[in-house]
Amino acid sequence: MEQEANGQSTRLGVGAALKAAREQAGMSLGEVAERLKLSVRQLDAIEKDDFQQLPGATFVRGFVRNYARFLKVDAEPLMAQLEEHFPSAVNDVVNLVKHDPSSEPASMAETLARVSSPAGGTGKAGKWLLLLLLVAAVAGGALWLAGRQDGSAPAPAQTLQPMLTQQAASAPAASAPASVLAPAAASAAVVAEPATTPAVASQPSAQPAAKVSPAVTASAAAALGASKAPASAAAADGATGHIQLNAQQAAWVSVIDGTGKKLQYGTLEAGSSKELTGTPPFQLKIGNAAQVQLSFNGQPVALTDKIRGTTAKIELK
Amino acid sequence: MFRSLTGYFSNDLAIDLGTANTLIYMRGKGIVLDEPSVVAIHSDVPTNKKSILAVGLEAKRMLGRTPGSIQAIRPMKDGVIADFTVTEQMLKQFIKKVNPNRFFAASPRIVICVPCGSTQVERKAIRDSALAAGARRVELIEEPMAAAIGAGLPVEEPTGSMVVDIGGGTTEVGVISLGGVVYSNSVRVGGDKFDEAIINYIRRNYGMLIGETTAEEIKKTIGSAFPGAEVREMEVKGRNLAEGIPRAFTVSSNEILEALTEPLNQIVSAVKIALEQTPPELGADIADKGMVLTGGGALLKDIDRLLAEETGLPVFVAEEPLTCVVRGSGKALEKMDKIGTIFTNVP
Repeated sequence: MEQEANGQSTRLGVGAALKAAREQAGMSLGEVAERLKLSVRQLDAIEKDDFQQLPGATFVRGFVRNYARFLKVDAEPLMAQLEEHFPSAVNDVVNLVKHDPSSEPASMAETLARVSSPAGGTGKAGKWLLLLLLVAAVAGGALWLAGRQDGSAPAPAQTLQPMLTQQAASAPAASAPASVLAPAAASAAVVAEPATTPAVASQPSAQPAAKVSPAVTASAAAALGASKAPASAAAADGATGHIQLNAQQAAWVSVIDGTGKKLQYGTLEAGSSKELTGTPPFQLKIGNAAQVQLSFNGQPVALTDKIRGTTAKIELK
Repeated sequence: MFRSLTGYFSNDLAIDLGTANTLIYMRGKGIVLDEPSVVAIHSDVPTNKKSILAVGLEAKRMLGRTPGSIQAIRPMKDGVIADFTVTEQMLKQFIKKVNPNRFFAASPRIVICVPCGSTQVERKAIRDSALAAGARRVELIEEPMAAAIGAGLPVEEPTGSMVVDIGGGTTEVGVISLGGVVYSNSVRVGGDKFDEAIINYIRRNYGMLIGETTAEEIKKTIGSAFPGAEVREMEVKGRNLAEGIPRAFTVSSNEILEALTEPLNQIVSAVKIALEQTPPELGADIADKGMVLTGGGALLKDIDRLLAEETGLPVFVAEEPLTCVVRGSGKALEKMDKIGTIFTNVP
């Protein structure tokens, strides 16, 4: 990251540093070439920073390191300078050695216990449990369907429908849970009743079930509102970073804060705006970035120079 | 269908099942395990039942220091499986270590590398033991290829690259061009043979007996492959053969160099044979670019100097030589669905 700032100037430093060291040691290119088994042409290219003459990144790094070691120069700073233009193969694949000595079992007793216990057991049990759940879900669904068909023949189930939609209209925010709850309750009641007297039994039982739902929706709406208010208040209180996004056209935006939380991960509709608060630094990815205005802690942030293609990646601290 | 579905939840692995160390790369995560290939087995005398006591680092600490009921084994020898059941258990333990039981624990696809000199029987043994350890599918990759990819050589370009991978049990020499191995050769000389040579030298010249761990320590501290300007010394403790009493004595780097001459010569001749067998166009590329050393043996001081002087070609050690092979296998794993040619076809 810090090499970005002094990229060009340091790049010229590698060959010059080696050349200076070689001249200080009082050696000619020929002597070095003899020792390193490189051609004078290749060494000359290294000293002139003309790395295009050399076979590739791995070789550039290898040759420079050997040269530096021969001249007893510390190769690490040179390698760091080369990193930008000739990245190390080590960083090609994510290289996280997660060797945690604390995970090693401490005592032999523990080791023995771990080995003797059938470790595969829990995984197998889990799979069986999953299978059982699946079977239960399928059976439950079939039963529900069967119950609904039984109940829909007489009138009461149909009268239930308008009632539900009325309640849904009165509390649109919580309509989905309400409509899910009500038929479930109704059908449960239907299934519970013996099928011999469906018309008589299901009407009274469906009625109270439906009556329950307004209360549910009301409390759900209240809970929603209540949870929203303290959340935003808390965010405003403990705010350390504040981001505002305005999208003129629909744009896909992802915002991840310093704790790794995804504050925003989806499309912003055209003409909409969004305010986000969280812990910096924020990692932002903005698609269709030309059509998005971004401000951070009240300061507008220019995206134009961050756009690659249509996407902008930016870090806010 | 179900298999492809479970594949979505599995963590594919690339494994460098080496004689000395086993490394595991997990798709999308990086290197997640790097431990010695050692297993400690506890055998219960009255019931004659055997159980695995420890694997990896912990087991390595027990090597040569075990009581009668415990056996510390290195199940890999010369790059191939010497003890099938123990290797299988070791792999199982390692895979379990990196893949803790989850609800959707599905069997992973595994890329595993084999020495290029291994026989079909040995390859099948490695494949079978990975399958028995819970793999869904096993792909084999030849070690020189994995090492070259890991070292960052341009393997897919029409230009010859030479890689020398000096592992614990074998030394692999490979010439690679256009994503394929043009020439490969494997000699069963590596870090273990170095240790053995040091043990023999010290027994012969000092009349002292030292263990493998001590020999490895000597190799790492004062071992070198080419006479250097400075002579380093190290104090070593071992058992005097004549007196039968533990004693301390001092060895110098020059003596260790002398001890290592024989195994080193085998490596040099393997490299020379490889150069002889390489087609001239690729030979020209190698003369220009030189060869790359990977594997733990590349850390032996001045081994690049030795090969450069012997062949007259530029030689350099890859960055992080110990992880080259697993990183290369990992890269192959990431690209597995796109390129299939780099894997070897084995029954």
